Amino acid sequence: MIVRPYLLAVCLAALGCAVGCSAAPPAEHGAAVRQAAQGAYTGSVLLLRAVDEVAFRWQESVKEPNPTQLETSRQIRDAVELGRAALAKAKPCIEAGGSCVEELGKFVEQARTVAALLSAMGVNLPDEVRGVLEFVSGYAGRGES
Amino acid sequence: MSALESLLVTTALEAAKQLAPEALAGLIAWIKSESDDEPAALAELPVTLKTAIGHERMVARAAKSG
Repeated sequence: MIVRPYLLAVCLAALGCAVGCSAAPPAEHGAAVRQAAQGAYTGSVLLLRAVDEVAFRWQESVKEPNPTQLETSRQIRDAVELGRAALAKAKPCIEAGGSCVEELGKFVEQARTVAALLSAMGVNLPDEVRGVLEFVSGYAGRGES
Repeated sequence: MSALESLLVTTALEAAKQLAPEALAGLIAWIKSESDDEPAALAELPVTLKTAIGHERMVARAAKSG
């Protein structure tokens, strides 16, 4: 599983804090959290670009849109915009060295919405994109059960 | 993009690749081959979203067709 290194790093950091968090957590745990969060954030930014590209291609492929397709396009546009806003909000958290799970989780929800809307239109995300979506979902605790 | 910004982007991409080499390297390769996004800016939030442009074009085509 791709998500395990992230989860392990975050769990170790959380465990370190839970065991002895009267003072600051050990530096190596803080570094692991920062590294995991930075990786998940960067993956999310790449994911946003890829989802935006796939959805744009679908929009361009529809030559004479019907009302359902227009509504789907509007929902995709809004979800991509909300996803970008979630990542913009996550950035200061990442820079501050936090785990930022909540912020990245909001992005994941929007990315999943776009994937579902595209799927309803017969468009599936490429394997390269789906793999990273699962990876970031795992980090943000939004994985499929 | 300044030299410092470029360095930060590169560092972020490297950090990501270390943590999930297969998944992220594959996605970076996909974006580089399938989109016209500037490679040096891949780790930055896009300023313009293509789906916003795509939606406007769809609306225009729908109006034109009927």
